[in-house]
Amino acid sequence: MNGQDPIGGRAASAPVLRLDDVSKQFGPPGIGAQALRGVSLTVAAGEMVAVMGPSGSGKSTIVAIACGLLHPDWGGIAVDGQLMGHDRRRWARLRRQRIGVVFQRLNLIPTLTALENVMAPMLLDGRRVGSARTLARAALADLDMEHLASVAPGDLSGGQQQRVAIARATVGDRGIVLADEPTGALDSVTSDDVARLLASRAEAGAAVLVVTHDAAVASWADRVVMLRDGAVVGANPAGAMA
Amino acid sequence: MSRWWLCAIATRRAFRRDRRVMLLASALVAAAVADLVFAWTWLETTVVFGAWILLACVMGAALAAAAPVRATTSDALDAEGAGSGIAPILAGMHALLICTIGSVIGLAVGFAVRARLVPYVPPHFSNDTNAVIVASVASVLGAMVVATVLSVVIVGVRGQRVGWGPPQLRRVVWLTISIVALVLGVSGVAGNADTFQDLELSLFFFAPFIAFGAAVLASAVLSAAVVALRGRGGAVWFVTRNLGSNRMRTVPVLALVTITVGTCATGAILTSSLHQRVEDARDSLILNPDQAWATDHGGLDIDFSKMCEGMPAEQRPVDLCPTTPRPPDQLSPTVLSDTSIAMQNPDAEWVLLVAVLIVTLPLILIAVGLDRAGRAPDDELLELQGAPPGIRRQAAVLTALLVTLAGSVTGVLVAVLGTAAGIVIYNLQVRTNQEVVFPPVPFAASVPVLLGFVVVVPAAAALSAAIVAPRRRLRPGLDLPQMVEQPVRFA
Repeated sequence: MNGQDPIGGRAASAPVLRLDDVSKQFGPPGIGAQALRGVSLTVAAGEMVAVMGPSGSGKSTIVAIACGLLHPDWGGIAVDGQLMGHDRRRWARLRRQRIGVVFQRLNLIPTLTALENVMAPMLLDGRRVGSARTLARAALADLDMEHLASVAPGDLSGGQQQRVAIARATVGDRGIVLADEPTGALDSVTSDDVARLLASRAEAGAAVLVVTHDAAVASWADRVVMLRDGAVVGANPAGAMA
Repeated sequence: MSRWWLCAIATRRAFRRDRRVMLLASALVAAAVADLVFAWTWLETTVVFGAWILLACVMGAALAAAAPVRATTSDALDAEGAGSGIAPILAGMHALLICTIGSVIGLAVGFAVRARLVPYVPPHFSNDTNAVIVASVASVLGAMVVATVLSVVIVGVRGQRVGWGPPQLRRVVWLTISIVALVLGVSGVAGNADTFQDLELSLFFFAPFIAFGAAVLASAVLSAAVVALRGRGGAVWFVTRNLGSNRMRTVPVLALVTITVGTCATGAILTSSLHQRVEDARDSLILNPDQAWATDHGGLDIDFSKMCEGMPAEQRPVDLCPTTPRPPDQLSPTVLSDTSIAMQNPDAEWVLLVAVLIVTLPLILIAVGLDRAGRAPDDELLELQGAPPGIRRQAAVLTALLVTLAGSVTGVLVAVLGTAAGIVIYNLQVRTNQEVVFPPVPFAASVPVLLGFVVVVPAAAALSAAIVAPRRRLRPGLDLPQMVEQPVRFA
């Protein structure tokens, strides 16, 4: 495998998320698409890493694998130093407690309010409604969204929906935030806000992995990993992207 | 014309995309139609009218439960600038498609089973085949028209409703309306009856009041249960949130359970009461063998001795019009009744319970399954957020349990209170047939049977929900790109 582990950036702490020589193919061998080819990647606590690359380079697959929605054909994933397998329950528990994901399509639940969407992972984890509500309100307040807590996602603007998705991904004690094209459908001003929010989560101690094709978003990251045809082709400090 | 064509294509696509919901809705209609065929086959016209009301309710419930599928399509067409008139057209086509598929399957199944069963049933129990066919098809068409028109009208006025008053006030008003409807219905049924046959006839006109009142009351019971459970996380939150919101999706299923169980419980109580009356009359009948009154289910206050006198000798039923005084051992329901199958069995209430479960449980289960299928998109999104793998099954079981329990408890409660009140009012009236003064009808209810309704229906529904709960695993690589993002709006 031709993977490499781009080391660098400002983060000094131990990696909380590690992809080690990960490969993934969709479809039958020989016919299907090879989405990832031996990708290795680490994200440390307090670090924001951006993954860039053209369409079809395997960026979204990295996020899906890093949160356990897809399993690699080859290679390993470690979260907090623990090697993860294919156990769906274990991955589901991690998504409820440790890993927050901002999906490209947001995937907010249309029948729940903004507040309830943020509460959802905690409630699914069995936490009582009262404490979940307190944490969710705090997460929304951090993003200046508290006044829209009782509004359904369908009645929010794209930027507001994005904030709700970020609040949901960062609520509680989640130390890992994965974002898949979080600014894909946003204007430049809102994109900048979203990137700043993600960077602030990293400053607060979270490990943030952002998949993006937007150089402006990547400029907020500590490191940028370049992906092409499913393989890492380079890694730069964020400043080199400008 | 192009709009109609567009709606037809959209409806067909909706059926293919949401096959599970659409097929369950059609199956619900089919089961109800098959029940109607059975009703026409063996029951009296009065009872069949009740079955027709139930069919219309079931069709309405199926259409309401499948409404989100139509609403998604409608919203998508709206987004393309289709205009406000497209929604009612779409609703009408959607309703017709579900009702037609369900009705055709239901009629086919109903008549196929009828053809197999009729040879085993005494001729005077079953109605004429041609009459059954004509009446069944006409009833189904009538119910289809009613359900479709209602569906179109409801969609037509959607968005024009104005929210009024705080929720507490709305709750009080609805509860008041339901209680008034219940009192009006029960007193209307009992108060307008000089004879038991009149009582059955008046059921035509007042049953909808009772059904409406019972359904609203069941909704209040379910709300109370949801409030009591609120505050907990996990599957309980999942369920209470679903049941608490989108009431339009829960109420049709709940109403169906309530009305079905309530109607069947009423039948069981009446059967118990009539058995009790036979027992009460036993001594009197032995002493006065010519007075064979008050033992027939269909015509409770008929004086059989008078009835027999008025009939030609060759048409007199031997068991009802004996040529010699009856010996005491023939004073049983089997001998004295010929119109009620249930009355012929000493364990009639239990037979009734089993029969009711066989007939109604599929309806309830399909309705619960339909409700769950309608919520599946939300489930998938929650799975992305780390919902435990077993939460769908837990939620399905809990939902089925809560809905059927609320419906069963309310149905049985209304049946007990309504039947007791009806019998009291009925007994207060002077009922005579020439020189015979009919004795009062006692109120007798078999507690184990009623408990059976309350326990068995929810337990069976919960068990079935656990079996049929969605097992599909999320496959993000395939499913995520197709996930519907637009908000689902409910009627």
